[in-house]
Amino acid sequence: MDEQKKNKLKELIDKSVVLKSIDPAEKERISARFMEMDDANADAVIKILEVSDDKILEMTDKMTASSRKVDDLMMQLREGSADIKRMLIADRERNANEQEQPKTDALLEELEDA
Amino acid sequence: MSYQKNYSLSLLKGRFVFMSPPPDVAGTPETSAPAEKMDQWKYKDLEGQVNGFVATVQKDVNSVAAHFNMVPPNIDVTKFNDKGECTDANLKKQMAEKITNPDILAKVISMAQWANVLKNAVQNIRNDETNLRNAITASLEKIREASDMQFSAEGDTMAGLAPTLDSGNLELRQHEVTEAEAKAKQTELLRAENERLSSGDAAPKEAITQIFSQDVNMGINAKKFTNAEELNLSPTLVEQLRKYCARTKEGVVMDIDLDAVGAQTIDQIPIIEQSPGSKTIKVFVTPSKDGRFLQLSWDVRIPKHAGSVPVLHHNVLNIALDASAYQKTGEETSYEEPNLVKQATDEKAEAQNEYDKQYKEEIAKLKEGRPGDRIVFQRPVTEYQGDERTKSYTAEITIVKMHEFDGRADQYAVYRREVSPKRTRYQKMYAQDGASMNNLPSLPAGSTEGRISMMESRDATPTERIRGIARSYKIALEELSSESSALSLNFKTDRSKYDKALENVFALVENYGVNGKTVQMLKNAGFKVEDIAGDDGRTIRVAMTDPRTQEVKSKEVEMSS
Repeated sequence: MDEQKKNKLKELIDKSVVLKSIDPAEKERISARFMEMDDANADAVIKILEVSDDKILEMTDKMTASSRKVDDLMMQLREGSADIKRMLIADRERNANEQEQPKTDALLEELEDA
Repeated sequence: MSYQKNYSLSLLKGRFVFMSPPPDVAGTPETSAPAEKMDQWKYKDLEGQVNGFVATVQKDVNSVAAHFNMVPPNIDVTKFNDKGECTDANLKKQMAEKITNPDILAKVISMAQWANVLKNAVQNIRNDETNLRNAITASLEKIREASDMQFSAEGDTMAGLAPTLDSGNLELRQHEVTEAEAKAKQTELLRAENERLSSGDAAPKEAITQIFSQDVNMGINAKKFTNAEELNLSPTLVEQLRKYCARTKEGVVMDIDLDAVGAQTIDQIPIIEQSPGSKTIKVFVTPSKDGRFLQLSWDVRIPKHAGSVPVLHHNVLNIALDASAYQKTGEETSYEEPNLVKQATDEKAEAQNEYDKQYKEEIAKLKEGRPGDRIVFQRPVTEYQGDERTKSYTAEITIVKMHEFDGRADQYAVYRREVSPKRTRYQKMYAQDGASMNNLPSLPAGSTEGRISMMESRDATPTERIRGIARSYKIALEELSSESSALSLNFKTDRSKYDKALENVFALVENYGVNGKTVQMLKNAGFKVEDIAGDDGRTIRVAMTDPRTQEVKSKEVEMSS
């Protein structure tokens, strides 16, 4: 395997999302084996690493988007909860005010006279 | 396998935790794109959070229930579909009856809907996460296979391995899961449908469809008794209706599309409608307590002849499901009065919703008009004494645009008079601020353009005028207070609503001035009101500090006498 291919393979192994999830010693062992491969096999391994990482990242992107959607919904629920509290307070005040209407009316008539 | 030991996707522990770099990598400076993407995943217990929020919704619902003196319903989010419609007739009825403030009712429903969507979203993430775990396992197997092969089959090429690990392979795994889920879902739907059919729930709709396809106008304006035989209902259908009545303790409202059932015509006049332009009518289905009768009731508007104003007719059809409850031999007919489970509570709520919708639409048309503009329309009205329907007639409604504040109309006078069966005097309606009187529906409080007020500009007495102004201040200040709270608490809120509410108050100050009473109201609402030197020495400044930006906005006016 030429130097250029070796560097590319090393870079892919370092970046590999899949290999990050395994035991470091095992990763080291796999990496060492890949570095000893001939050109044809190295090309196959490069293809494997590229495809698998792309796929995994595509899936994690999708999950990130879903997670954001969940965050948005939770935010809406927080706001909705606060809205309900405000509405109940306003409704209670309105009911109380309606009951006190005669008093308010008298006050307003006084204003008019003034 | 040994690599599973350090698998950072620790769903294996039974917790909903997302992937993060393993401990030995986490502290290593890593700037590559894949690592950045992986680092976006934070440890999260989403399920716990979601359950917490569903509990919050229930808590809010409990507060609402206590406020309206009702037994707190158990808000099971599965009782709301993706459109936010409540699928549980009992819960729907309970909420519509008790929660008299339409804004609060709408908010409770939307909260339950959001909680439902949230649950589904988390379930989707859980599925995605399973797929991701499978994909990582598959990739690792291929990588390990590749590394082993070099030594076990020296000289052989591994090129053939790569294509088997392409995205299609991974997608196939996902596809398998999705297909299995789809099949499970389909089975569940079929099971639910079978259950619904066998329980008789579908029977009333089928019966109504059959009856209406024969004659939608039967029993006009009168209670009518009949039985299944006269209606040509099959014995199977009658049996299902019996099952339905025996099982159901509450009535339901069903929407029936007249076109779909083959709406009848009267003297070739194909106008049979519950509300103008609608071909859907609502039928109230009420089982009797003993399960021997099923009562159907519905309203239709039928013109006496082509081109005439349709007249409202209220129909009631009692169907005897038990032969002894209704017998007809020769000239003699005997029947029993059904002992109904419920009266008109559902239809009252439905009518209220229908009114609200129409008023909102009509007032929206007036919004762009000028003070004095009016809209006149007719609609069927039903009056109730408690839950008992006491009177049905066609009413002529007149809505007059009264006041305009800085281009935004917010006050309307509403008049109603009966035009059928007889003409009566105009009745002036008094509805304000979400309250409803004399069967006139209120419009959602908080929507400025939707508020109906008794305030009248042309013939208002000075007292009415002062009351109207004070009410306008009260409404505007309440709105401002609500928006201000949201802004100051850093809720994700629409800032323009606060700005608009503040503008409304300033418009009142500018148009109507202030007096001792309104100055006090403004001060109570947080405005700074101060005398400033004016030409006449009576100018005052009304100022408000923005709760978020601390910017001060003010308006200067002369003090009213």
